[in-house]
Amino acid sequence: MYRCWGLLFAAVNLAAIGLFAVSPAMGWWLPKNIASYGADIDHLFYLILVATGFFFIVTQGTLVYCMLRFNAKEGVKAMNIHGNTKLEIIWTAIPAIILIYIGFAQTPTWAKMKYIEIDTWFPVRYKGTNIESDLHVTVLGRQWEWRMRYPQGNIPADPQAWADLGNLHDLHVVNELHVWKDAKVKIHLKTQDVIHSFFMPNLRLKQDALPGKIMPMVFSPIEANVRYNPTTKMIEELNPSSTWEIACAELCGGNHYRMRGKLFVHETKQDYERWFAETLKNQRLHESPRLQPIVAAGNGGKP
Amino acid sequence: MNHEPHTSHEAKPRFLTTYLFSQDHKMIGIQFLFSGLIFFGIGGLLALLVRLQLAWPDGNLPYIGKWFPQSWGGKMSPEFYTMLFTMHASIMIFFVIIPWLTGTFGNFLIPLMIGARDMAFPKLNMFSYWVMWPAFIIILASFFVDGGAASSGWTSYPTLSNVGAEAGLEKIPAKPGEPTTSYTVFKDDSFNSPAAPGAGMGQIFWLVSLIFVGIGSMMGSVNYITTILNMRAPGMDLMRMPLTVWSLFITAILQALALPVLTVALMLPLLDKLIATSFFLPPGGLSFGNWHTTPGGGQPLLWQHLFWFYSHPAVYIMILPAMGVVSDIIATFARKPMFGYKPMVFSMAAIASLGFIVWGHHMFQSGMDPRLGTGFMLATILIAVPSAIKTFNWLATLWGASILYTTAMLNALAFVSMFVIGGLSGIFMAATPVDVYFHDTYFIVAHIHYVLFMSSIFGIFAGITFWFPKMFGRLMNEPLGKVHFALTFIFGNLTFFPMHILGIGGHPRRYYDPTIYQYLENLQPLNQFMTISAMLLGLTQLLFVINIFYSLWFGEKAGKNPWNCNTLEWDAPSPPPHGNFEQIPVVQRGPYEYAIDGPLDHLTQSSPASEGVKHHE
Repeated sequence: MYRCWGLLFAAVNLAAIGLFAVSPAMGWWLPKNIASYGADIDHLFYLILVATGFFFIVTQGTLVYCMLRFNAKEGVKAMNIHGNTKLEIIWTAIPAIILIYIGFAQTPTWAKMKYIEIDTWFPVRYKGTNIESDLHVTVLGRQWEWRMRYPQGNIPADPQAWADLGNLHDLHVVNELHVWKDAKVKIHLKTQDVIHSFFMPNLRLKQDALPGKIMPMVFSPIEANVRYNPTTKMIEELNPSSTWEIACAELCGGNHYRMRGKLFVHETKQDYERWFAETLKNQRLHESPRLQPIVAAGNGGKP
Repeated sequence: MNHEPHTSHEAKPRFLTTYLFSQDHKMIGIQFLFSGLIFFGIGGLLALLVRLQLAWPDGNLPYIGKWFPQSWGGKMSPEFYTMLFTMHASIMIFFVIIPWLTGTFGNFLIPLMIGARDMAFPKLNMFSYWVMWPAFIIILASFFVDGGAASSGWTSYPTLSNVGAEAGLEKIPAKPGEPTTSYTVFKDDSFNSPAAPGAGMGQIFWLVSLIFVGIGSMMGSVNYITTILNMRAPGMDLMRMPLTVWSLFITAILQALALPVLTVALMLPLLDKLIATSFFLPPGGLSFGNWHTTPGGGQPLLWQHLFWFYSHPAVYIMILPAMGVVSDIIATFARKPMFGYKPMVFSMAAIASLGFIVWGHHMFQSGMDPRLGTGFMLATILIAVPSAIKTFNWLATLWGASILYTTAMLNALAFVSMFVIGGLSGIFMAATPVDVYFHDTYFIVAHIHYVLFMSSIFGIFAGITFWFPKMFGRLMNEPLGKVHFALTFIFGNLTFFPMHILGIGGHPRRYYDPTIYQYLENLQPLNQFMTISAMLLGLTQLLFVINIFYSLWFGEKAGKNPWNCNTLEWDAPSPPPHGNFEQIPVVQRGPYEYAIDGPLDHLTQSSPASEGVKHHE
């Protein structure tokens, strides 16, 4: 009878392992990676999965073994042991070494995500600065949408001032982030009301937008998902499954879940610029005096 | 110093002083037990409503649909949904787990286990429970105020939570013929917030309620520290204290140091809301549609630092006492000495002290510089070391044991098993680049529920079952307890384990309707599966409530020491009278003398030393 408890624990743990085993095949897994540093993140994820998986099997296996093997028997006493210093040292040192290894193994990846150049893996030796970007975009979060602002010529003269104040000739688009393949993109993330978090699962990237601050985000997509068709002047998806979405990851009110955006990665810079020119032309056509204040302000919507 | 028992001289203890305004630490512990049970039910129902919405986000809800206002169209509104998970987390953390662990176990066990007649400050102890009542009433009343209860998440990040209507100006559109738009002071006496309906009066109630909770816990922690340091029975050295007492002692120190920070920090958003200060309002001000705040001079990040400086240690406040309780129960039913008593004490101290320097890991996505983040990351990852030490020591205690499968033991074993899962999933988040992806996804929800529900609650179930005979003089029903355990273990895992997979798929938390996202579409069957499991998990908890009330009156009568346990509380009668012990016991040895040589199986802490018995130093 006592065995059923050990077996229950074994069954639950095996089911847990089983779920992890079948999930990738069921499509319940990491979304497709399109970030230049994404492979490093995924690699780190699998490294930790293997390390934790190993300790999971060892500890749960030991527990189940003890439960099956050491039940109370008539006339048999338990061992009288109060501890063992050698064992304590061993099982302190082994996890400590593995954990510190994981700790240092991740620093280059984090630096890569921030586009900081480092010369060694040792964390205190950061020396570089952010690299040059090919494209600047300002993203303004508000309840409940993302407002993107693109500069003419891709790189404004003074990116910081431009992100803060904007320019009359900027292109305004809601919920659509357009970049091109291999572009080094810099997003200036802002919010006009509450904290939002700009989350692009395919880029493995997430950044909170903080009221009163302009938060930088840098990334470079390694794959395209749209093509600009010059005859129809429309964007076409390269294949139907390559919709890359943008979500809000920080609670921002009731419609938090509705801050859905889309990421469009054009195949070339020329494609992006054709889309930009065409969309800007449409914007000029439709600009009414009512919209002018938004264009002019662009500074967090302040009066 | 020990006081003589005083009730023995009183003629008739009256109902009010015995059950309500009691200064007896045991009664206060039992009061915390039952109020926690009520809130456990409320918090659980809120969670089930959250799950209901997640599983069928677009469907009209068959039976409960008609309870919602007609304007919602038979569904819950998104604002109502945000209120649900906010109040679920707040209630479970501040009104269930912390009161159960520190309130019930702390109050009931500390004086009994160290051989004292009562707490150092019995009146303060009574107040520590009675300030909970304003908190109870205010948090329950907040469901019925204008705009509904708080809905900014249990973390209540500004500026969603702190903006008050008073702090702003409303834009009046230009009338035809007038040159410019003008602004007027927004007049609204209802404290409504432009950010969210629940961020108005509901948020104020939430803040006030938590201030009361904070004051109560602070009184408790001062009492626990003083009692443990000053009132131990003769011979009860610090290194002879049971691990439960050690864990409650370390927890009390954590509370005494961290809680004042939160209690004071809660005043800041309250002032922002009530008298339009701007602690969290940025210099440029904010815009909500036509409504603009005045320029502030504050910084929303300030709240995150203050909040997590308390709330990360709070995570350990919510797990350490369970670790102590589980250690004692495992040693008792393994009939074997605790393996590595000192490493167990030191690892708890290490968890507590590291717990103070890791709060930044909640803020990796708030724009932290990697150079600063590296420090937080390393401290975070190192916390896994003492956690691993504890796990290995529990396993070593079970190795070569003589295990008795009582309900309390099964719950304690489940704690160990589930804590391994909750601990290991934490390592993913400690790795910052991976955390960037997992932050605010269901992976975090899985992690916190494996630590707080699957670990702490199993520890609490184990503790209640174990000390129930001491509290009420009757044993809980074993077969019913085992059925409750097995079903909770199965349905709990079916509910919470798939959340890891959801997180890996990138499912953000706090979403009213995830199905509008293409990349989340095929995760929806998992959501429905988890909801069904959660309903069954909720139903299973009725067995626990039935067992408690059944056993209160019809349980098998327990003697002094039904589990053949060594610690001092089992020297007292069940239930112990006011004053606890007929005579204050004299402690001879540590608490884990099981499987000793000679004819006896175990030696209690107070039994006189006898020949031929092997002693632990």
